[in-house]
Amino acid sequence: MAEFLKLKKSNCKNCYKCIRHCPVKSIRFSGNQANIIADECILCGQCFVVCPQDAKEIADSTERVKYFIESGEKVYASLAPSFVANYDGVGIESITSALKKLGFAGAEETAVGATIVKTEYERLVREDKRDIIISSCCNSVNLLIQKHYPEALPYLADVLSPMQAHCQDLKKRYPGCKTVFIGPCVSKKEEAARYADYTDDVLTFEELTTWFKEAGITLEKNMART
Amino acid sequence: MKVTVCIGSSCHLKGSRRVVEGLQYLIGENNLKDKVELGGTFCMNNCQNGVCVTVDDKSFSVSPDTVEDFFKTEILAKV
Repeated sequence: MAEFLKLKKSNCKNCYKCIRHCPVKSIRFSGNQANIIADECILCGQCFVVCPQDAKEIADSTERVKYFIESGEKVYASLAPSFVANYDGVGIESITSALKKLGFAGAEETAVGATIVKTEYERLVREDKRDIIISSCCNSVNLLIQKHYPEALPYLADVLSPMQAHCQDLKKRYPGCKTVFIGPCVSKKEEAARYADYTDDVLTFEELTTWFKEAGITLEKNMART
Repeated sequence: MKVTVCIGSSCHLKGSRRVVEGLQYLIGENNLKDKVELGGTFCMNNCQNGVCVTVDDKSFSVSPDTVEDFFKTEILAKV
């Protein structure tokens, strides 16, 4: 399993704060360095948030996405709707136009996938015999169940996540395209890699912001819908 | 008094977790646990003005930095 959340060795001071906050204790110390155990990690990012030495880093996919674009692929962005919270005052038209300047063929909010998925959940609630259904939209929740609470697996809905449903739909509408999910979540990088048929790569808002800056693109503050 | 904090993705990015923790602490500190019911809700459709908090159906925009002032003026003063 490729490492999406890893240690920056030179910064780790062996303080144990990460393992104290890790909800599944998937960190071991050896050679006075914290190591994330990939098989047990649920990619919640708590260790990244609490580390006082900035010794954890998130894998960067920007170069790979640039490569898709440069090799002439049609790359569509599935944009997490929470982008409005990350880019204040910027609406979907404004960010789509900025993404096109980077070379994306187009962008849609992942809400398109959520609509597809919601219909399936409505059907489950209507027809399913289970008295508990756990939604499978969050990859970290799925990993928590799969790796640590497999007894809850029967209750985990066998429904694609909105990201997967949207990317599958984009590939149907634009055959041969590449799909890139853009959102605030590191766990989605693992989900995209594991279910390779739907999402080709994942960029966090931080990676996107850095890319916009490098390319000299400013986002127009415009919430008006056409 | 019912206080509801939005825990949707956009409000999460704006620090809803810290708002919830802040309110839990202040409610406890001021012995208001039996007077104030604190709950969470899904997206209230006001993502630009997060973190969205309602106090008995009145809506507010709160941030982790303003939660203490918000508590003093809207909860402590009015409970």
